[in-house]
Amino acid sequence: MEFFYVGNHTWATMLGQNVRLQPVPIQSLSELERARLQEVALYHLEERELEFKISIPKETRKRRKSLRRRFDSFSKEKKERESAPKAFSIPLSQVIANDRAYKLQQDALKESRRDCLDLEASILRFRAEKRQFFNGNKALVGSASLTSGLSSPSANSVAPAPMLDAQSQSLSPTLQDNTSRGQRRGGLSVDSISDLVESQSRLLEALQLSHPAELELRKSAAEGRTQNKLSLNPIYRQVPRVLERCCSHIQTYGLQTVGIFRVGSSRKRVRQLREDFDRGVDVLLDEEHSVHDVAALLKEFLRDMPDPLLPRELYPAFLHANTLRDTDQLQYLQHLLYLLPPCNCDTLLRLLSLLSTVQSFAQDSIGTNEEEIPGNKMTAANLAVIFGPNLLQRERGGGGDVSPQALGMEDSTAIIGVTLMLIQNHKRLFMVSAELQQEVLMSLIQTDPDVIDYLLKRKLSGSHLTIDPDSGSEGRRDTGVSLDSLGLSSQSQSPLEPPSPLFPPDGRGGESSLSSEVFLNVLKLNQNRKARYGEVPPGKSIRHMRQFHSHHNLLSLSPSSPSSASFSRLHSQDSDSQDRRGVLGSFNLGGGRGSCSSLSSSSESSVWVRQTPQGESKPAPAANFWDFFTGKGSGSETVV
Amino acid sequence: MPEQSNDYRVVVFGAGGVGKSSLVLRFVKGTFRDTYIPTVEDTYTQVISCDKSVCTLQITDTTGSHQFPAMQRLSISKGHAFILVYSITSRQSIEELKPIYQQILAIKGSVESIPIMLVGNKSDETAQREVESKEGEAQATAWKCAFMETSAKTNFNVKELFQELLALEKKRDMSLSIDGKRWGKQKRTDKLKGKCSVM
Repeated sequence: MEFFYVGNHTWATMLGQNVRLQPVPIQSLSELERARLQEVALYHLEERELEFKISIPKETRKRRKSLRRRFDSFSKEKKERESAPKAFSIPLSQVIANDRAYKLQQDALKESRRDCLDLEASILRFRAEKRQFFNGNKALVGSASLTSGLSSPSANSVAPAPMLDAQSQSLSPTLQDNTSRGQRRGGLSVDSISDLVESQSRLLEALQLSHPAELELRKSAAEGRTQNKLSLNPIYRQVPRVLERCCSHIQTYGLQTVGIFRVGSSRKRVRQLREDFDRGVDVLLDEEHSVHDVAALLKEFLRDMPDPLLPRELYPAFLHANTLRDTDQLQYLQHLLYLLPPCNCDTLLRLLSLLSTVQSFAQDSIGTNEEEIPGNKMTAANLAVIFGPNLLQRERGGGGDVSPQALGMEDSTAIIGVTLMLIQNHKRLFMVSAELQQEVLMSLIQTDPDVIDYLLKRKLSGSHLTIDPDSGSEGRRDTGVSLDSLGLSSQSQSPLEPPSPLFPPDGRGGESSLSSEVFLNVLKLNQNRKARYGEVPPGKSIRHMRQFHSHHNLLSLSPSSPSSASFSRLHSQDSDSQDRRGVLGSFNLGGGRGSCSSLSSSSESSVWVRQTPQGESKPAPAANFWDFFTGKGSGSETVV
Repeated sequence: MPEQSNDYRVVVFGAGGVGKSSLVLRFVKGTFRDTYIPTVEDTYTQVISCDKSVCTLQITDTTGSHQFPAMQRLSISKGHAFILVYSITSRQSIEELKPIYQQILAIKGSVESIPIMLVGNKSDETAQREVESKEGEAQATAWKCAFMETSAKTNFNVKELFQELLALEKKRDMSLSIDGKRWGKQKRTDKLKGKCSVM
């Protein structure tokens, strides 16, 4: 199955299947797409030419106290080192890795217990029945525990169930599956990871948890290898267990508590909870726990992160959002959020959706039985006052500078303003528009053409998932993002990349030109990427770029065309593919057969483009009218 | 120790929602609003008489909801006098003052010469009372500070609270009125009998 781009954010297959890109939650993008989205977003942010530097934050930063810690561990007992906190005051990615390690440990335990179960079951000839239970029989818990005679078998015996049915549907996106299971189990993030993951993709999971340092390596490594390392599946939801438990506790018990998050808590009990989480204890929060304690614990977790949820290096960038208005502001914040490491992004979304729920209970209301339900009085503005300073902290100056300036007090109005925006718009902010997805795909074609099919296939099988009423396209269209690629590209003509005359308005409506603009953006983006990672000298990178033409514009291809890439005739791999192109007249990705081997400088990679004229049924005769672009690494012309 | 300057800085501490801002606003503006808005940090100034001259009384209303230790330390080291507010409707809120008191003690070294007032606010909400006056007094005795119950809502003991606090300052002779009229010590003690006890 191969996909062709047919314009208007729609990709089609030979079998007549269409994928029209829809706005999707960022969490549903694959790891590879998310990594590329970071770069696309960075590109758009750089287009704004702001006076401060914006960069993609690294997931972990060097621990400032590492020297002292090392010293401590020398001077103190060994157990001291083992008791290093597992949840608080450590980098977010580390918290998640700790959760993960704990989960794997528990899995191993379950595994062994399950073996016991199996053994006993076979002896008692209950195995067949047990299978039935696994497939959804209600009697599961009762009989499983009967069977096993173990003390706590119910949770353990459920575990194999997802394993059994998952293998058959490995290609289908597991997101929806995951959320429903997550809810069933109280939305515990790490627990739902195991549900999400089919047995065979454990490996992927391991990859996804690899250390950020590795991620950097990957990025700077040769482009050709990139796609092998970054996963093509969504990253599992990276929310620390402690935060997830706090959030679901407050959602269960605290929504009607006046002054939730504002009213104080017992320091002693909070410290106890904190120590439990730090020791790696599987703390279950229930009605025994005061919501104020849990709220304080949550705030403390956020406050004590070495780098706050919104990384310090983006502090000026986030505050800048206050000077923008309306859709521009939303779009700007969206792009900033796309820059965040996935764990920050996921955790932030979890937090914001909790805060949004809390504020929806702020006002007094009338219950179903005419009784008055007192509101919790915590409006979004109130929550922003309390959470703003926890989310946004400026870069710390050297030494123990504790002046109000160093603590960012004078920025508090701006901090609160941004936080308020985040709370009020969190649903929209974490969606990725079709336009940006298109840019990501276009960018991927440049480097990893062979993955496009897989990604689109996943979108195709997942497309029915995106039609849930909550995220219907109607609501999201009005973010104004749909105009961004056009608007940005028209104002973004840098001296380095003069306006391309390749796509004069041909009166055929915006669709084709839109995609062309997108494509040009992507070209520039990719050029930026290369320049940034320094793998290709700037002068050379232009030659690596492929140009994009449509046959309508073939005549307008002048020698003075902006990029130095020379154009060549279609180099067709085989007559078969040419036929197909003739029939379908679409954007053919040669990548599926590996003919488009990306950036290796000597290869002649060809991607054919044809912009299908809407309603104009001019059959495209032969290759004359086919447009293509080629990576002219060697400078030689490719001629049919 | 803060230097003797023309400012006299009073810092108001307490848990979230106990009425710090309400007390300060009642004193500074004479108003009370039944709103529920957390404070980041506000500072109000007022000219008062001091040692036969005038000086600026600076009242810093702090946040109760998220304590950043650094912020708190800064406020304490700059402050001359402290008001520790709890709500009589919440036992938890008086518990939360303990670490703040310890912090003041640690930074100032001793509280002997520092005016500190423990305040049980919301004294109008008798139906929800969780902390008896006696308990507040006992706590104040333990802390060697003054104690008072107030209600910002009904304007009960609010002005008295600030007057008494200034009177506790022995290094300067301060008064809220700037026309030189002093509140006689005798008279004040009579007036506040039963409501205020200076330990």
